[in-house]
Amino acid sequence: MKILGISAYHQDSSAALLVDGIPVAAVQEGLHTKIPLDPALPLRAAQECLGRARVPACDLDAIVFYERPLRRFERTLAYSLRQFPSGGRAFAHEVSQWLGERLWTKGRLVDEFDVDPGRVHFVDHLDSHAACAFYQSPFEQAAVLVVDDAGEWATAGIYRASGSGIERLQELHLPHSLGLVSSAMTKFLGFEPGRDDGFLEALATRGTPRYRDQLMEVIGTAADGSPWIDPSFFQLGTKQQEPWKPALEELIGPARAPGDPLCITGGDTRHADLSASLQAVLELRLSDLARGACEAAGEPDLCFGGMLAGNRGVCRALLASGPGRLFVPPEPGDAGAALGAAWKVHQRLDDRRPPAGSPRRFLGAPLVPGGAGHPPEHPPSGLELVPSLLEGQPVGWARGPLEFASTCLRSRLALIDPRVSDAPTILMRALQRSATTELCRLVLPSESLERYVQLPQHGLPLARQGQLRLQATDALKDAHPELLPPDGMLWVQAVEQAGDPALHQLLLAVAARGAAPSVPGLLACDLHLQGGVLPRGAAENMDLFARSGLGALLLEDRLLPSQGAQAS
Amino acid sequence: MNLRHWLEERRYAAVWRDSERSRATLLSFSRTERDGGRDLEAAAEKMQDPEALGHLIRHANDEARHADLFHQRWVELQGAGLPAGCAAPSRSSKASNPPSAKPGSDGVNAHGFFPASLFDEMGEVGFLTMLHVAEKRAAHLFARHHRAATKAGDPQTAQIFESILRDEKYHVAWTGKVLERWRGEGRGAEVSRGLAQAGRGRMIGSWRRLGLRSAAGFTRMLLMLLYWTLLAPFGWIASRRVRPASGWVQTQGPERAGQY
Repeated sequence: MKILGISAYHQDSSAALLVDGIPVAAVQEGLHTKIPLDPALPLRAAQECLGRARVPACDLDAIVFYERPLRRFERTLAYSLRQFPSGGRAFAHEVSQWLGERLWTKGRLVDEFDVDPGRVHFVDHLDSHAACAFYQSPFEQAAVLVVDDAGEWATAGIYRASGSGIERLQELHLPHSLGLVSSAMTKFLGFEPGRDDGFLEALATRGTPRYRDQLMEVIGTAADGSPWIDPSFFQLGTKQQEPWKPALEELIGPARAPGDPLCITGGDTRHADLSASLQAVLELRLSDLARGACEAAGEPDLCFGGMLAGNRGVCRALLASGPGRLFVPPEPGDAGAALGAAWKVHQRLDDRRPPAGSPRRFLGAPLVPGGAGHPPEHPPSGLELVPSLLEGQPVGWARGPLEFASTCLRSRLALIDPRVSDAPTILMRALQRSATTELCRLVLPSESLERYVQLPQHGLPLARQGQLRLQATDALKDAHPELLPPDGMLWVQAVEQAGDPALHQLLLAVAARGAAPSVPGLLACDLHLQGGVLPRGAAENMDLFARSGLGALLLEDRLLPSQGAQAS
Repeated sequence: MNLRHWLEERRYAAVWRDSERSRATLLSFSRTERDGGRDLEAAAEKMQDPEALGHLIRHANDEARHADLFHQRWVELQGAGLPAGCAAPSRSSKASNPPSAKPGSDGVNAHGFFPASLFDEMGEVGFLTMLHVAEKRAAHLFARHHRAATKAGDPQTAQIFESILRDEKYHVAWTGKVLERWRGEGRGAEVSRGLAQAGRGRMIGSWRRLGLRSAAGFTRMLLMLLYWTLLAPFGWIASRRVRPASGWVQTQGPERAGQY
């Protein structure tokens, strides 16, 4: 059975292809158009998936869209009317967009792929996220919690999942959306929701949560313990220029316009404090939700999906407060929902759980043609990068197919030795990006993890996926105090020798050969330039390398030195 | 300066005075150049004329480089409004434009076959005449943008236009030279017909774009009118309704496959 899943029109649209329940390709449209988080209908991504798997569109058993457009349109209309008379502009803007394209999604898919209309299916938005989370998990049965910005009407859902399917137990409706409040606060602080959510989380590590009580008032709880958003402070549900009301500015001070100075250091840390307060409230409310989900489903293990599952601080809080294990899919956002939608329809048509297995990461374009669909299996050859790293240069690491994940763990990395003075700044500048310590992660060998960070119980699988922000131990504080933000929380990624022998060997080799003693780790970030997307094939990687300030690039099994090194 | 040029000058000057519009323009140019480069690569695979083939390959590389230059400048301007320590914002998520190129412009198409390129649709002469007319137009357009960016005090962007303009002049020259040679080889009627068709095509395209823009504006105006007239009573009732219910909702009904 061949099923193509599609997510589009919100953020990071993507296509994913399942063959007999196994994902064989998944690609974000932005990788083709070079627009980060491109929301356009992913026709190019779909063509790549079909082309790589050599599946003609006429052979597809189903094409699945990750939400129900008519229900979502109904919600758009209802919320525009509820906001009368201030909703006129939002109504005209949104309805014209809907009339232009989104309302005709089914016809567009039928035309573009030339398939029978009966083969085009639609799945509830939250169900797509739930399927994406559960079918990649190692659990036979589990509770599933999805917390997103907004689907059709639902903003969060609790599910009970087992081999026989995923059953939705409860859902929360607009305007009570933790995801939308988080996006509104991102905008309140002058950033772009979606793109800068990770930055806001990182900013929180620099502040103290002194606005926590005020935000607890705004993001409260209903009588049944579910999140409740006070409508006096927010105007959620339509795309307003400012989704907050004047009462919020009276409560926590004025909003920051994009480009205004960011108050994060010295005497004025208001913006960092607001981020820290939001993070604290989200962690508290989501921990309550997770406990409630496990109780409602009667399962100790939890799968967590949707927009807020990408928040690493929240994942740590859930793990610390939950009764059992936690699983977060590699791509918990809208891109991953394309995969989930396809799985949901596979279960609907086949009535069997798709084959279980570890999370599928390597679903993107191969670095060299012919290597699609498999994790890198080349012999370790990363040691050639050691001299450049010891000289204090940032280096690139491009191996194997691209990962279909919110964070690149093995396929496209930029690395630097943390002993280098001001290493994060050098690494970011090499990629033409603005420098912030918190946007880098510390890559550590699995066996050393507990020595340098406080790993919660059941935390290792999530740390291996780079999905946790953890408290540093004294050993790490002594070795690299300059790397740690004021609250001592650090984004970490664990590397196992069996999982990625080349990277593991590189970590140990750099630590062993340096003059100063060091933790066996490297600072890393995803390999892309500012405002750009991850490079796919060898040509794109070489192009990025030529424009970057990286000292060397490991491109599959070849080492490319910088132009300066070549000249010397 | 005639009225048309005067209007164009004003229009382009307004683009480079507005940071958001200038960023959108750069991104749009980047996408157009990248798509154009792909079409040229596809055409180069099928071009029989050896002289034209050599030029096409260089031309395709130029277009890819132009796309990168525009994209790079877009990236720089995206980050310019933010203080150090901030990530540059992405393109607004509210925009959901479909890709400018037809599906299938790279890789196989939805049916698993390589797509028919513009070259297949138009033929050798038709493609080159279209390219010649398009490059002339692009040279004119970039010259105006170069002047406007210089006047708006953006020397970096102006420099990009200047370097691209040099390439565009070469593109006009090589396409013109090959077309002239073909005329001399007895294909004059075909070339003249192609040039006339390309000119007509551009006029029809401009007319369509104008129509689309006007229609979008009218649609929004009508929708606003609808909101304030027909929907006003419903809006008034809806806005005075009690607050939406809070708390968990038990899910109801069997699973559906449809859009609603």
